[in-house]
Amino acid sequence: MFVEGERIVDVKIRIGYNHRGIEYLSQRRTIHQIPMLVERICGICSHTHPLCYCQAVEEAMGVEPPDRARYIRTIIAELERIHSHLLWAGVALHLIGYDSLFMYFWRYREPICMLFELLTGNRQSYAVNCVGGVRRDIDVPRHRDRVMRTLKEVGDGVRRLEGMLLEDPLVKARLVGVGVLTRDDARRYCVVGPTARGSGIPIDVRVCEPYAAYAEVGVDIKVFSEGDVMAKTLVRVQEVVESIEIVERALDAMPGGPLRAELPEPPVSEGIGKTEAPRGENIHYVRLNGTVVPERHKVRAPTYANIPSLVPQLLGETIADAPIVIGSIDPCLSCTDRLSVVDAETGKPLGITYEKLVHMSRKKSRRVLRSA
Amino acid sequence: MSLSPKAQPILDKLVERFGEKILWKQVRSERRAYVAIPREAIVECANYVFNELRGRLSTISAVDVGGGFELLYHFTFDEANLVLTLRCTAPKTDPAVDSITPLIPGAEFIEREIMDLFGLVFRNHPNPERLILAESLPPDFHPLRKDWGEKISRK
Repeated sequence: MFVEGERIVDVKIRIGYNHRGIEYLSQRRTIHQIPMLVERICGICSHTHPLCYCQAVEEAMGVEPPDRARYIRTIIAELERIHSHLLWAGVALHLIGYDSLFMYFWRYREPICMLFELLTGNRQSYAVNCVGGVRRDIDVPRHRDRVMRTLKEVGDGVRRLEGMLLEDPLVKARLVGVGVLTRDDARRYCVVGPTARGSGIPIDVRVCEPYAAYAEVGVDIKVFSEGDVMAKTLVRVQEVVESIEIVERALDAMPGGPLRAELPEPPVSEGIGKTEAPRGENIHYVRLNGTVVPERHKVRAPTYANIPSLVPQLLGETIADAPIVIGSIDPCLSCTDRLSVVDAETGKPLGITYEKLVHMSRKKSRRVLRSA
Repeated sequence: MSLSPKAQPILDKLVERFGEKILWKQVRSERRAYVAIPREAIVECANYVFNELRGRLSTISAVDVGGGFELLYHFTFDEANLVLTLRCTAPKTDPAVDSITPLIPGAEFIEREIMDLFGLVFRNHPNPERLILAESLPPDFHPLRKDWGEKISRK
């Protein structure tokens, strides 16, 4: 970030050395081992990557997963979205120094993690997907009551917190009109997910290219046109409520039948898988060469598409607003470690660390509160 | 295989506009179409698909196919439920194509990543620096090339 005084005048993004060679490893594993590998791309979206990969391979093989598998995939994907969005809301509120609301949001995230443990045996990295279907069944008669009770509690809580967000003067002062991404910029930078939906672009893979059971259970897409941090926040908070309703509908409509389809011998073919991760469109491209080891496996995670759009969002804002603006695209935080603030006139780094930056952001909230 | 009624006009328009330039096309399902074009035409084609047909660039996949590299530009049409993939190849003797970043800023990262991992050059890229590999690595260090493992073990 290049600054003149407090004002950001230019931004040059370096994403840091996060390259772990997942694609390289993937091209040396069998197609049945890869779901375990891509599950570890991200701890928060640990369902969406294997799901996306499996869909790409299924498309290349011409296999349709059975109905029950599609419903189970949907339920886990939506629970994942709930816990991811609640996690984000907490982090965002922490960045602006609103720790009490941050703890409320995380208080409702915990029951969702417990549900994961109940349904899949793990709080994270659920290991549900396999090529052609799913590996674990959900025992609906046994778990239905507990799941519905938890979802109702979380739903009621989040609706109440949404009301608090909308009314709170501090939240308004820090989020409304800050870090605006215009509709045109959003299109030029090809952004996806809540970042696009906060800028008035109604794209959501669940609606545009229905996968798993979304065509049957239905999704109501949330769009706000303002493009500021508040719009992106509201998209996420309302999506939590929507996801809860999707899980409830999917649980009630769950069909019986097998969990995975018979697979043919791997053909020479290619396939594209797309899913709506909590952060936006996730896309995997798989090329098969007739053996069990893929010729090429390309992964494009949503944050990768959203990070370049930080440039127009940050220009003209102050340093103290940078954390919440960067946070508004919900990046994997390991990417922000290389942020350095540079004086535009002298070209010298100002030596502002992550802690200092967050401190400046939180201090601004206190200033806002005092002047109110 | 044929495309869905909403997606078909998009492919038709592209074929109409670039009729002679299209090497071959393939429809794999009702929402996946692949169109091969010569690499010289990629900027013109991408411009048409992005600005006239209003497709969104999802990503670019590069594949080492032995004698050269294949590039797959995946354009998503959200309303029509279509992924239109433009594909072109560049031989290893001249691994270069024109950059589409001046046209689509969203392509900046993925083009830089391919330059890092495959050693493919995107001409006229506004910021052709390394993206994910360390600056200290040698200039011919391209780990997703198929001969990379052998090269390292020979050293």
